[in-house]
Amino acid sequence: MSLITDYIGKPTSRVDGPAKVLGTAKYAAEFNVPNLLYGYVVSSPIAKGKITKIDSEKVRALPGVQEVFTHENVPNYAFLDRSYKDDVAPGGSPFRPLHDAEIKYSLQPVALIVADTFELARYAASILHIEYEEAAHETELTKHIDEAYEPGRGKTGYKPPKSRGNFGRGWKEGVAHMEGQFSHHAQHHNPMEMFASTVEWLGDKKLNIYDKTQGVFNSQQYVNKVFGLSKDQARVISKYTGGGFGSGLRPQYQLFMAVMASLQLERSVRVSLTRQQMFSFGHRPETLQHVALATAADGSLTGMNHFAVAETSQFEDFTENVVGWTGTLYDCKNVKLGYRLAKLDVFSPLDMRAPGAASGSIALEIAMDEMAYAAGLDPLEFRIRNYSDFDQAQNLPYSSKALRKCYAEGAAKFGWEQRTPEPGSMRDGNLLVGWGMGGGIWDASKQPAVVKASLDADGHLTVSSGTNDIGTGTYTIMTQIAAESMGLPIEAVTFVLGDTTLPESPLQGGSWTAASVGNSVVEACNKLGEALLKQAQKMDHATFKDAKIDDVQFVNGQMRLRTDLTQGIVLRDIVQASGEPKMEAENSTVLTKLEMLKPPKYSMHAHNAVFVEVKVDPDLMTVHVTRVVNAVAAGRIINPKTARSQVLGSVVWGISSALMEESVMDHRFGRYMNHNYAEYHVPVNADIHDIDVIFVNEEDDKVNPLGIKGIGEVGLLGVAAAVANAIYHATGKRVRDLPITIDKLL
Amino acid sequence: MIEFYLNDQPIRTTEAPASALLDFVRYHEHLMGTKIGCREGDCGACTVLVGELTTDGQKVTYQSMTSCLTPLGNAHGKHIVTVEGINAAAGQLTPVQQAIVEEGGSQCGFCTVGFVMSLTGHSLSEQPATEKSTIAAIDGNICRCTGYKSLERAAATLTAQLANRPTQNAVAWLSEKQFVPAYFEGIPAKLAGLRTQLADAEAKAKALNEASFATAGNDAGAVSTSPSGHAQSQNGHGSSFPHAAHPLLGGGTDLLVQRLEELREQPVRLVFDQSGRRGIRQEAAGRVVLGAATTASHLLESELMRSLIPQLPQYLKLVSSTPIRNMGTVAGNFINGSPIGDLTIMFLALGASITLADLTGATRELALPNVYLGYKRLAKTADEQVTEISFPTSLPGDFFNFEKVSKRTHLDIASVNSAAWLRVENGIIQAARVSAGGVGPVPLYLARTSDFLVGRELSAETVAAANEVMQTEISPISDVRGTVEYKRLLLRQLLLAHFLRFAPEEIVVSNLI
Repeated sequence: MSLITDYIGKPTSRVDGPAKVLGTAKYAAEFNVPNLLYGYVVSSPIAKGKITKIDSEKVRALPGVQEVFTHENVPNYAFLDRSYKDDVAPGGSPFRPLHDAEIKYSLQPVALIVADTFELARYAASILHIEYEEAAHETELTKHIDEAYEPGRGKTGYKPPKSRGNFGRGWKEGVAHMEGQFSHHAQHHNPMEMFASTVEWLGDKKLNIYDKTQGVFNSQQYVNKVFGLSKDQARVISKYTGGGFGSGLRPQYQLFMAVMASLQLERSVRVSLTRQQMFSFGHRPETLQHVALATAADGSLTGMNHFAVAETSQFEDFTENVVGWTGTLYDCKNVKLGYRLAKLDVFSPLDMRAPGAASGSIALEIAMDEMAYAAGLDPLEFRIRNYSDFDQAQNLPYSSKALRKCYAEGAAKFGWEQRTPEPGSMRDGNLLVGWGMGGGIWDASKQPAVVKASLDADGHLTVSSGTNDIGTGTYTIMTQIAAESMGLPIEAVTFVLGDTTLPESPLQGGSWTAASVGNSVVEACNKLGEALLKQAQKMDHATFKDAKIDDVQFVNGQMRLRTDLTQGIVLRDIVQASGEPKMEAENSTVLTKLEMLKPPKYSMHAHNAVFVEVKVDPDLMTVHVTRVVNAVAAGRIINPKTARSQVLGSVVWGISSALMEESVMDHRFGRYMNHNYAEYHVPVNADIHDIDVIFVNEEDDKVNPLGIKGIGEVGLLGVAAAVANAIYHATGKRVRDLPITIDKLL
Repeated sequence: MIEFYLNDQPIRTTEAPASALLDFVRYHEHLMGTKIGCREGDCGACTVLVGELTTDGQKVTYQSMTSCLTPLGNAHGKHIVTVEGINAAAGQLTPVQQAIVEEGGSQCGFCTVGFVMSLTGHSLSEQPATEKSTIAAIDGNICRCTGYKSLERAAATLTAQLANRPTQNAVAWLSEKQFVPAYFEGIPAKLAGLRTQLADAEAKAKALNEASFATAGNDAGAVSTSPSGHAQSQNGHGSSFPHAAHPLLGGGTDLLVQRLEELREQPVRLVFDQSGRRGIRQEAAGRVVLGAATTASHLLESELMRSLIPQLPQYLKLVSSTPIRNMGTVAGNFINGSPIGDLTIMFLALGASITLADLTGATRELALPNVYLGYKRLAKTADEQVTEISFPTSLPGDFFNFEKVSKRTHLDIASVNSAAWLRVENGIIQAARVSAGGVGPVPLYLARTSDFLVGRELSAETVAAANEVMQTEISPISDVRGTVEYKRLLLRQLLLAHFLRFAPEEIVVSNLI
């Protein structure tokens, strides 16, 4: 029987949708704080060297300019590197804004001008005179491969890749082989909202900080440590975030600037970055990869070798899992993996949607296509023959793995069996048609998260946790989970997030929010249920007298006895009877934390298989991605509507990275030439054609109680490779350097 | 003094005319629904509607514009609509907003309001809504989250709803259906009142100005409606009447990207709305004449232009986006001197000339190819301004084609673009004009290539040989849009594309490559 308060798994429109279409959803730069000052950042035009002279006299003379902050007058805050380390900081010494005269990368912030109006601050920034002494910079990764080194375990979540077996032997055993070099340039997240912090000065170093971030607690602890403020003094708020994709995982420098200026001037200050300055911090690193594969006569993989070199900054070791997935996704005894970093005069790279996997899967999945051709097999059949039923990398069984279903359902929907393998063999009129495929794997993880559930005497449930919603749908799915858990209509539930005064929650990243916060919502609601039952038992209500929590259910606004569904009590009445304005409960994260210390029993991952059609003009070599089918196995889907949107968006990211996106470095100046929306290309509507998303059924009672695996990243994997493979199928041209532009095809 | 209606409120401000409308709306009026995404017209997050009273004063036509590049001065006499101006009372959603929410068209929400405004603008359009036109209305809006599919579904819902929109008195219907609030119905009368009032004031100011270069901005009537109206006094702008020495500012699509801070500091001459700078007409002498402030959208709307160049909508679809086409002027595109200006390349192949007027009002005509002396160097004195553009009318049967290679369909600067015009009789090319952008320091009229084609047979051999000539006539450099070799290759492909379109039977590309 479907009950009216069963919301999990049902397509549900965003609860935050109305605020967004009305324009009333407020982002970090939109809080109208009284007597606000505006900060504008001046960026370094050189990539390396030092500031030799700052002449701010003219700027200071402008009426309305309050201060010009540079390394010359910013006070020394925290001394130790570790004070500047945020939750996801890689190993090394974090960058300190306005700290000294040294220039470490192009567009490094060198001054902050604070003025009465935004326009004045911007004008003042345009006339501030700074002199530099340039030093030789190094920004070409290809020139530094020989100096590349194996990083330590610098960053949380980074696992140094583990080889197994003997690749050399496997290579020799093989009867068919492929080997290739793959590369892609740096990419920048470019969320629509630019980074901004509005700091409201409340007196006595007490601040309300409206920050663009993916984790309010991460921003708070950074501010606490750097400026020596207590938690009470630095409240961080982020109710809406205009996209993140990883860029908001680390506090960006405008947070430091705005807080510093506010403390110095004892005023409220806002600092917003420009689109150009959105290229002045972390990015997906340029990565060079080498893949070699060998197969036996039956098409089984006998050896796999995957090696990657990625850029990092001079001051931090940014690490991501690029090659590790190769050891898990396919069945093979002999796997050799390597990952190295090379230091360049750039800012430290930063996790960007499906960090590591997005890069690694480009090389691996193009290589798998090449290998299929070399082995004379259909690319789908080849993957099925090398299907991994057991995670050889971790030596663990999978908690669940419905990738076979992704292959089958995706291929059926796409019509893959109609494919003729010969490149150039399919046509639509004059156009060459290419069909390619790929796929991927992503971690299903869970972090400790505290949630509070509070039911008031009107029967309204408020559930809160200091997580974020960067556009993923967190507000909506948590409302659904809470409504179903407490058996309340969705309109009677409000989910509150993005505030450090709320219970502590991890930052939003790694596709873990749905599982981490979602399961905690259930736990908090269960605790509230227990309290409600206790209270009901205090009331003169014989029905629940001896009932245990498992004997009751919460549905349709009532608590009911499972054995006799006609016996129920309205939740609102229980709260009213308690004599308190509300009843509250909070979950405990002790068990989750303990679990995280134990070695895992299962390999827990989401998977996908993606099928792509391209049409290529044979004369002009223009490429259009005309059709995509993406079949995803990601455990339980809480809201097919928001989950589908996540995958649709991911597919566009994949197409974009295959055909358009690259941050082009001008090595003469050591800076990105296309640091704007005009030249850093992300697709427009007209570039995107049919996309079909399939969620295959995947039940998993081991991954977490709700069976959630997370959906924010997995949909991106394999897309770019599938586009490249489809282009090969259409044209016979194998391009291993992304993005694939016309010149690489002519 | 700049006067206009912002939503349902009259505005009088002495802010600098070159200020971005976006900054005025957000920082002076504190209306935060309009978002800042790029400040260069490339994302559409700041899209607003700009309503202009028709000449007969009977109705207001609305166009979408990116407020980041709209000079505040261009709002003068108009109705500016931000999301706050379409929101119904008490949090009710308009049909546009409802469709976006229901179809999941909003994720992080930062681009959403821009889409809402573009689609609302489309609902106010006089053209019938079709699936295509509704989708085209969001060509200037970038979304980084949704993958657009949900927004397309929302667009389809709207197209269906707009099928019932009457052609007459559409605003009353739209107001009844809550697409826009009821106050929209009163806007034509309000703008008409403002028009009369402004005309009077202008006449007075002109008289005053002629008497002595007196100040016009500091009179007692000067008020700022801004609660934090502070910026206008410090820079001295508004204190002198703009005269011929001051920079010209048209649609703002280029100058507000590159020179906003500088232009805010001085008076500017606004030409976007100047009477006599608009309109497209056929002259008796067989020439078509356009006012200098004609926008790309005006070209599209012109029946004359569409009859002369039937493929114009396809060509202009590749030129930027709807809001930018509503703002950018043809003369602006020419005078910017960009080696890659799309309109410049088209008009070079159309054989266009420009009319320049100096301070005394004396005019001279200059063939478009002769305008360009070197990279961003023009054969025009600082005090000359373009007043008109003209080109010879084509004959029936003449070929014209424009090609552009860019990475994305809209909102993109070409890597290489090219246009070609041909007159062919009995298989022999009688006259030819070929132009190319992005392959030299200026927008190139390929004189030698064009001359080479004349008198030759329309054949694959001729095209191949023309390419050889063309390759000697261009001098591309390697930059962010491609290497020298890449651009040479692209231009060859575009030349082939022209001839493939002109004579698909005669030209077999595989024989050429």
